[in-house]
Amino acid sequence: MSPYGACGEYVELHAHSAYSFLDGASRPGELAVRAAELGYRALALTDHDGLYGSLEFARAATSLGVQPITGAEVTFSSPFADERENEATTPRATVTNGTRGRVDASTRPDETGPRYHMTLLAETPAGYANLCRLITRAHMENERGDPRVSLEALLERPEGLIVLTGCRRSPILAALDRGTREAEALFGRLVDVFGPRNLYVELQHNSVHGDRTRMKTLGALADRFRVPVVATGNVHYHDRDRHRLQDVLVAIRNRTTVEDSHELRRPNACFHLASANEMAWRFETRPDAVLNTLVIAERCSEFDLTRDLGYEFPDFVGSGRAPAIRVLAEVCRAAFEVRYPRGNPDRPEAERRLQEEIALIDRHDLPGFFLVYRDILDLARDVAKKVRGGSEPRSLLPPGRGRGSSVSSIVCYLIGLSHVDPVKTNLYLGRFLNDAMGSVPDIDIDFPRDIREELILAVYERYGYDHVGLVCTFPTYRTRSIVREVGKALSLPMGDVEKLAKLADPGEDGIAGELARIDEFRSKLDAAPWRAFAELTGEIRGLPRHISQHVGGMIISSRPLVELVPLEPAAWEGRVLCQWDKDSCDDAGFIKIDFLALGMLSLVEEAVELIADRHGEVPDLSRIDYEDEEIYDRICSGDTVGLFQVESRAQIQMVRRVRPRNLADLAIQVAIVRPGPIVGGAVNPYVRRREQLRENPDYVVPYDHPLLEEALGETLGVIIFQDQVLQVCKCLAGFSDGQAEGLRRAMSRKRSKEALLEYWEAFREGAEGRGVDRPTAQKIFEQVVAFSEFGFPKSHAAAFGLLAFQSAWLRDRYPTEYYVSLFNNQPMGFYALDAIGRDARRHGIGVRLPHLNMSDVRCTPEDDDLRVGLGFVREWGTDVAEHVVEERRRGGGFASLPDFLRRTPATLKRGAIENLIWVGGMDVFGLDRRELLWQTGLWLGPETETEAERRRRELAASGAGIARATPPIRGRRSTDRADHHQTELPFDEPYADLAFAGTSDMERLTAEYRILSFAAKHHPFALVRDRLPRGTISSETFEALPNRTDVRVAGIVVARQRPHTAKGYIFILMEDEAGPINAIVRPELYEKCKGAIRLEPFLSIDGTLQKDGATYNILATDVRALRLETPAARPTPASASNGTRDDAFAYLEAIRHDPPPTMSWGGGGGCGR
Amino acid sequence: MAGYGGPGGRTGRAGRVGRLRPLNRPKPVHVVPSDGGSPARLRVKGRVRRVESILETWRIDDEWWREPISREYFSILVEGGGHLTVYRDLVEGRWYLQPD
Repeated sequence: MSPYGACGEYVELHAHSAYSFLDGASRPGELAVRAAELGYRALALTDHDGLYGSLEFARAATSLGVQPITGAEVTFSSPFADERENEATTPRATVTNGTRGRVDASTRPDETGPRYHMTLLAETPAGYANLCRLITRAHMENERGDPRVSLEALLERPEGLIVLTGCRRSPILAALDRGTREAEALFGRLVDVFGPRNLYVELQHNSVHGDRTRMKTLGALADRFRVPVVATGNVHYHDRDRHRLQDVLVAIRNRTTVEDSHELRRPNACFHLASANEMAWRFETRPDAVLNTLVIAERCSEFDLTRDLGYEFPDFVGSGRAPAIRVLAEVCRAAFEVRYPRGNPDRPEAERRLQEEIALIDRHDLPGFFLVYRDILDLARDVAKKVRGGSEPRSLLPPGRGRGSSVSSIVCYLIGLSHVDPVKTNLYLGRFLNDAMGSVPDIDIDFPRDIREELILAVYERYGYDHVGLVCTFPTYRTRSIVREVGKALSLPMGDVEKLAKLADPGEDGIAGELARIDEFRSKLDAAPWRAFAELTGEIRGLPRHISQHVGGMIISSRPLVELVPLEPAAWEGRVLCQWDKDSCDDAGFIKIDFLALGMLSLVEEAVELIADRHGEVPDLSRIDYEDEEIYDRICSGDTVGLFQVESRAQIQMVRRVRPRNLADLAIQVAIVRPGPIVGGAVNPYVRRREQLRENPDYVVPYDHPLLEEALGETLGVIIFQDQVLQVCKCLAGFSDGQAEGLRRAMSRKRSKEALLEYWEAFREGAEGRGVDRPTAQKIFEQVVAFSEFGFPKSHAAAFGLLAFQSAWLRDRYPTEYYVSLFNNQPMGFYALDAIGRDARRHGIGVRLPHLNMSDVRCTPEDDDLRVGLGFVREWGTDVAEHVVEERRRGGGFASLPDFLRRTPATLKRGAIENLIWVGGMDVFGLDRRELLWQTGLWLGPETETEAERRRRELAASGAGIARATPPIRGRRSTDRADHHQTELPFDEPYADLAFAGTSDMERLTAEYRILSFAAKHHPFALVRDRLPRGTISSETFEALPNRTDVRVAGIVVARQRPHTAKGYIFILMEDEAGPINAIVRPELYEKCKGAIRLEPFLSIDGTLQKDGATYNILATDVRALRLETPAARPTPASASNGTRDDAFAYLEAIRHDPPPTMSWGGGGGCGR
Repeated sequence: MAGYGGPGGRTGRAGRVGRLRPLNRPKPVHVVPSDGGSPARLRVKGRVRRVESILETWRIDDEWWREPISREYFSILVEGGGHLTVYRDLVEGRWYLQPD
């Protein structure tokens, strides 16, 4: 018997989740859970113009025994030819004394005509494909953010769809507003195409004013055409209580407050998932409408999104030589002979591994998969050639480099996907390919940014736009955005909201808990709006905000992708996103190809080019001396700012203790400061054992069990690499590939702790069978489980370690070129430009300010220094800077300010010109900066857009004519043009003797910070060093001070970290004039000084100096905002500044900026830069 | 914003509205509800009248961030003719007559 025979049931066919973006307040999972609680047999998810959450929802619902129905509420543009002229007749909100006949808040008529909604459900796979196509059209044929299709588009592809006429904003209701005849005409067209079987008149009763009347009218229309009616709840949240969040989201969407969005919000809290009883009561006059929800649900049970998608990876199209496995074997064999020629000691092992991998690939039917990758890599080579143009030096570099576990594969190495020899580096394959694989392996490839951009477009070309899409992501609400947006929606005072946004650092108990902890906010919780704020900030956390592009994932499908998932344009022109994120794509079985942009690769490419340009030699990075002692010495001294992967505060401290001396050590170095090894307790034992080995070469590394020696030998008995977890399980407990793979998967999922414990039994038994006693087995298993936090596979660490060395080598041999490239490829890595600039200066590379006649658009090497590019000046866009540089190349250097103004476009605004003057870019004209600024004002006048442009035009048109018409300028070359016709007006020179005050050091430094975001010459403290709090010492004295000395230090905050692995400890990296200062703040002190630590860019810290070898830390006892001493309090010799005493305060205020955000090492990814 | 004319102090901005005199301030009314919760009889100007029919019902939930308002409105025809709007305040459970 059909499950839908029962009475007293209801199925909701119209429900929005948070994937309706600011028009739905529940996650798909919450809807599914509530539906199960209410005893629903089925539930449809119908978000606005998207299937973003459909797969997530389908999986959640299925696991709860609720049949998922896939659908969407699609937006239609006007179905009537004359609609635009009659826009005024569209139903509008009416407000009378508590009655609001308002309509759906999500769409409002705008200048392109009104929008209508209809609810479409997929009955069959063909219907699903049509729905995807329709939604894709809605997005692709319109401006981003304004999806809509014509009714004709729907009528073109009706197969497999069940159409519900829509909510209060349906075209039928709009037509009824215009008269019965019009409504009947439109409805007649729908009936003609869909027939009475696939068309339902949608009735809604949410206790909105007018619902009864609307239901009656629509019911009568349906009856006249003998078309069935169906009840829906127009659900926007799973539970009634969530209506408050829905109201807040509407306010956020309309950039207003709940107070001022009265007419935009839904009038009541009746848009929740309702019980069957409640729906029966709402529709007591039309019981057939409720019954029909069950009929539709049964019909839709034919299609299951989790099962019927029909995705296929494009097959390898060979040259007729198939089968693919033979082609792959041949390709690998040819490369094998080159990589491992006869006589190569690794050849036998390489041969064995190749055979093993080819067999595995054949068994899993993956040869086509690898060949397609090879195909894409060929494409990348072509793209690289095009992007690099004729650049000889760059052509030596591979177009991209593998990362992640694929680096362990010899097949990947031989087909060019990775560049690390897996045999020589002894990389473990099992993490990438093994007997028991459940899904296709991941292959990630890093590219320089410019090559990646082009490659993505090339892949579209190769496989066709209908077959390729970028994986999307859904950025979620985070602490700061939550506080700001919810606070604003609730009209909380902006000052409080802003302060809380910066101060809040919520733990498990969310912002509510945080509010209760901060003194000044605790008392506010008595007020209703703040209480609501505390609750709503918890509800909104983690909800998707909008769709965005995933860092690198692309989906390629042999069947048109538009039939599998809707596509929509990305913000980046020419790119297309699919509406599913990484997890949904994974669940759909899509093969995701990851092209990642790696800033360091762009840096390397640029550096190599600069080196070739300046030195006439091209370093071949594949053949440099990887044993070079000098390079390792510098790394070991902690001099690693700006290097790849080993530059962070934690890495600098660690590298001094680990002291890597070869590539294998570097791979460990790269992998060790990760949550996996840290939580697994591997770090300290490893460091200590290395220290002992250095002191005593006969030191014997202790293993928890001798069986571990093989797996953990190279990491001195501890687990540092992710793949070692698998090896440990195999060698100690005899796990099969399948068990090891299952364990790895359990480790990589969030709710993994329970799943992991299931493996304990198998582990214990296996270990016992090999003679391992239970306590030892338990100890080792605990280490394995602790490693379930993120860690690198060795292959990944090896690839990154290699690049780390290359970056160190380049910086050591060609420092100028390296720092120039580092500047030009920001943002990347751990440090802001300011800190990198100071590091460059410490290494003798001067940072020269922008120079109108010498700077290029980007930074350039000049002698041994770095010349800042014009494009780095605030308000100078790349376009303008390029124009100016081009003009200089064409017409020679600029001779004077007027000459410059005449030859540059009006798009270069006065503000931008003044910025360049402020940072000395026009000092070349021999005038004081103030005088240049004054003259600019004379030439260009006040910066009202039209006025400035008008003057510029006139100036350009008449050359010196204007120059004569305005006061003559002292020390300026004449720019007379012989053919000008403007009458020369005789003027005295009233300003000839005007004196200019000059600019002080402080003014200049302030300007540099304001305009370039970094200081070229001085350290910010150089000008106030005599004003630091009494007793402040310089970090250069640390070396001479005994351990445990009490000290007071002051510095500019470079980074603050609160690793989730560090039990509430905060690490602050500051910098004073002499160099870096590391401070450690205990959790209790952090609670006390949180305001200063989170809000202040300059800190004064008291604490105890802790010296551990070459590592110095200050264990803080007090942390305060830095306050400069007044001159009276502290008479000192003349300051470095030539400004007045009080300047110092203004100065600190001026260069003050928000401190860097708190960083964490935790979380997934996070491995590139 | 367009506020809801509330009886006595039950308005959103009590302090500010104090000086204003709402034209259509709701008045408490005695209502005998039916089993389903809709009004069956009510006392108007000292006379008990039967509710002939309910023309429309609607509900509002608002101002939850300040002092929540939750009302269920009924547009009714009463015995002997006459069109009235009454609401039940769901927060305090009382009935009010809403002048047109």
